Amino acid sequence: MINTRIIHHEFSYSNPGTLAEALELNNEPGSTVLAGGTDLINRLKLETATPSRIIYLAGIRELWDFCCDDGLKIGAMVPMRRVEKCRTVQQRYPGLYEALSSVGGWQIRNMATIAGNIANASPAADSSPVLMVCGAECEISSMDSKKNVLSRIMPVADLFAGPGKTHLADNEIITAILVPPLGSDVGTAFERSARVKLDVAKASAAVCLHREGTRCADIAVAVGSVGPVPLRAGTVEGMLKGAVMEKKRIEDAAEVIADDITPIDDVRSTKKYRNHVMKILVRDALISAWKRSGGGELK
Amino acid sequence: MAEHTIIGKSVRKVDGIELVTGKAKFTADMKFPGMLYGYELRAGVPAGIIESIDASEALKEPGVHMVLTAKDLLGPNLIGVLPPFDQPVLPDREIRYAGESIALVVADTREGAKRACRNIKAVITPIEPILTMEQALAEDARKIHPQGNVTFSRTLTKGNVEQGFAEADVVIEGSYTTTFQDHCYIEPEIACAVPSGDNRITLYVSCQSPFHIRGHVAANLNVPASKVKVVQAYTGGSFGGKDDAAVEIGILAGTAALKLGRPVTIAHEREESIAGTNVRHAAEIAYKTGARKDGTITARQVKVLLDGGAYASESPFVTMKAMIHASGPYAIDHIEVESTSVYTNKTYAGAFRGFGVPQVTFASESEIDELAKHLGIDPLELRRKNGLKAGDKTATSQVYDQSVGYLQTLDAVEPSLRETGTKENDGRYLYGTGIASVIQGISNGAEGVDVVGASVQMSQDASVLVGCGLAEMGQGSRTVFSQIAAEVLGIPVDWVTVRQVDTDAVHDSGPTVASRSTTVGGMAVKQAAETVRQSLVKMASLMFKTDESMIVLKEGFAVLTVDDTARIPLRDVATAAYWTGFPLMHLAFSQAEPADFDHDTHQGRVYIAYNFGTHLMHVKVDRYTGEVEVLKHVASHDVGKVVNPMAASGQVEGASLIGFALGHMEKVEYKDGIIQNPTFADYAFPSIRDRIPTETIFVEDPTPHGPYGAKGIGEPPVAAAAAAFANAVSQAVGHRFTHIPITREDIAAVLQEEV
Repeated sequence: MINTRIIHHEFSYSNPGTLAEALELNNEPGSTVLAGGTDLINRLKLETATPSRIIYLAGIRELWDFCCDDGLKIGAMVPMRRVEKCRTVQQRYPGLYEALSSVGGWQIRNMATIAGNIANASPAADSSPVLMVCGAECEISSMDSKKNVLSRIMPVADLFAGPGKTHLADNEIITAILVPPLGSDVGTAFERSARVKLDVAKASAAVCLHREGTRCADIAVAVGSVGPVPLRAGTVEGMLKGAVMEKKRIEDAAEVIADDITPIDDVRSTKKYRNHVMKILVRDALISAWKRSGGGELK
Repeated sequence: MAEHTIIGKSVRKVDGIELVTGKAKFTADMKFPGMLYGYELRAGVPAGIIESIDASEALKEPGVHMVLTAKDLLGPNLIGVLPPFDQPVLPDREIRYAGESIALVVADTREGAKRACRNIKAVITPIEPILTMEQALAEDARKIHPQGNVTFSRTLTKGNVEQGFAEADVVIEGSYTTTFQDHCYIEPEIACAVPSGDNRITLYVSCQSPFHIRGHVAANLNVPASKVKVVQAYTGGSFGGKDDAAVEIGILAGTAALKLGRPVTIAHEREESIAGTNVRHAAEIAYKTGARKDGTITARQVKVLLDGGAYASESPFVTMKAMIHASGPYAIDHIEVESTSVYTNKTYAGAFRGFGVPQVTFASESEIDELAKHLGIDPLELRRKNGLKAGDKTATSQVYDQSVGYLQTLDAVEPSLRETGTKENDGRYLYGTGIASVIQGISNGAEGVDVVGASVQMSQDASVLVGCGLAEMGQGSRTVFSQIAAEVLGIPVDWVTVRQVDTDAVHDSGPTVASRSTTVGGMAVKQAAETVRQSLVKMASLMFKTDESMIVLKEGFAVLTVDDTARIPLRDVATAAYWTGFPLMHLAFSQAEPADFDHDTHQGRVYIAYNFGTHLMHVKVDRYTGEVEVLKHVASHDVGKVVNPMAASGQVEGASLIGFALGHMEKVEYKDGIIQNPTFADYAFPSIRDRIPTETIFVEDPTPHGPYGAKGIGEPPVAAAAAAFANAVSQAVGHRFTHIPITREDIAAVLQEEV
């Protein structure tokens, strides 16, 4: 016995060896899938998840695939720590690296998966904003009534429906995350604020910036923990897209982040502080992304 | 001073290997045939009247054996620390806090017990809760307990504060507040009760005061204390937090075990640990300090209010301790401290590392810095000018002629004042330095008699078994006791085993509290070992055919003083002593000099010794986000004598981290009497990745009351670290924060308003 929180809810448990078996089981109403479990187990303990069946995906070999040749393809079972340790990720997707390395401690990241992190649809998930700005997509599978395996692709940005809710159908499983290749003139960055190192973020910001000379040719900014879902910061993006990048312009753009967010008071922080600190996080992420895109010191 | 071979050396924790390899068996690891599990149903409302509890549905569930409510208990259903006790094990009528247990379900599994709890129909009529001290102290307030809402109130009077303020050139006043803090030990509370055929019951329990538990469990099971055996299992931290809960669940598990004739375990979940069991008192503290222009403090007047929650627990003693320590480590002629703890409908507050001292120290040291600013005197100089020295009178007018190393702790941190490191200066970061001093009484002192019994038993192979009623809960007492026994008997540390506390086998040594293990417990071990040593020396002198004064014990041998090569292995000496009939075991008692003071003014002898300390912190504050980085933290304490530098530094580092967290982030958040953050997901406290760079500098001004001059160190750094943090951040931001924790939000709010 371990004297920690009791999972007193009863459920069936399956450990399928193939995706088809998992999808078939997942057609059963009330079933849910388990990857790293770092989130689901907590939700079981807190009774915010009460599935009748848990389908553990670890036995499905292809879900462990991790490929970083041309963009990234990260299988649903790949632990965050493996992605975080990948040199391609560290060098080409520094924003993703920053986001992943800020999730919990090593023990958590050795279990947790990116697919789980986004499928959980927490507005505070560290990987969501950065995947959104990088244009990442989810590969999604399900099985129809004739036992045909169906697949579709959905942008991560379209996944979130509300706190803890996604636009996935009940019988769909995210099987992989696809991150497009980024050119050398693209910079990414992630910033977060939390009460302690191992805490969920009280506010976070991710930036992906495509530089052309001294201009910002294209930009995506997304923020976490300041709304019901991770949000794109359209107002900020609008002020920077196509603009010549200067320190003042970045600061001005970061100031308007308040127009894009709807933070609340909770145990982690206050609405007031989140509105304030988000400007700083966005500003710092913009500056960092600009530098990483090859842009020089900002004037 | 005599040369020591083991005292003063860094010896690794003697129980470290089994702890880090998982070999140590905690209570949760224990399994007994037929064991059942208990789970407590909690009130869910902060105040109310229990109209009825209907467990019939729950009892129908498969695997459910029993539901206990107040009427099923076997004894007086009353627990507490200080008579008259005020806390029921399970309330029969009135609910006084939301986390209060009202029934226990016993089932085959923990899961089943928890499920069945949901099917108990408790009809509770809520009553308007009293949630603030102001509400509790209002004249027409409802009485939470029959005697009213004041738990305990005392006043310390030294000299005449009116006269003191009249002598002052400057008088400053300040009001300060602190919040509830949870212990956050890694192992939540747990107890396992095992009945046996001889009509006895054994409790395996994670705790810090096994005999206190034995007494309460026996009384509430309505059996003689000798029928109850309490075995302290390996304990995953306690910090003052486990005794009340261990008593509660020990009684519940024991009652169920006796009734069912089967072992019963109750293990708390984290939420139960935070919401159901004691926390550190929140405080509202008002200070008035008078000083002459030259910095001499002439008077301090303090009013301390402590929110003790629903039950007294340790509130009376915490109230006393806060009172005695409120004026700080300073020689001040005129002091008046009124200290009061108050009942509210919140989780009861009790013992927590520091015991009332962190709250008043934060307030006192903030005020000392304000005074320094007011007078234009350097904060360290102001402290030095007023600091206690040997021969000075403390707040209780007690005079120590030695072991008052306060000024040396100021000297120790002073060089670090200038070591601020390089400062990034792009306008984003603010830098600040804070110092804060602490005085903390060692031993129970005014809180009661202080006796420890310790046995030392040498086997014929010269290995040694030490038994003491004080509990090892991570603070390192096993290691310290091993060192002391080894030092006295001239054997390697690893020949010594300090057994786990089993109330059948060791002497009642009182609670493991008040930083007293090394000081009072160590003294008892030393005395017991010295008696065993006499047998060995006597035997060796017969074997060498020489005088006893010619014999030393070292490195596992009896050795002639005049010829280091003339050695007899101690196992031969011990074996011979056994066959000769010399005793090889001794039970010794160490009694701290009892307190002796006037109970109106609290003037007199209170503690056998004080630990003095000064902490210095350099911080870097992000002007934009309010984020604080502790760049340097130097902690100096007068510990009398360092028994084990590594272990002592570990105590300073751990206690400092708790203090830092109290100063910066930890708070139990209430809304309408319900705790909002009772999980580690929602309650922020530091992990190893948030630790601060503590450097420890020990001052050694020995006390005659501790072994080799040693004084305790477990608690004092909490107060000093919290206060130093507050002073450093206040200096960096240029704003006096009067409330802890000082969060990023608080800092950013001040800085934003500046802009």
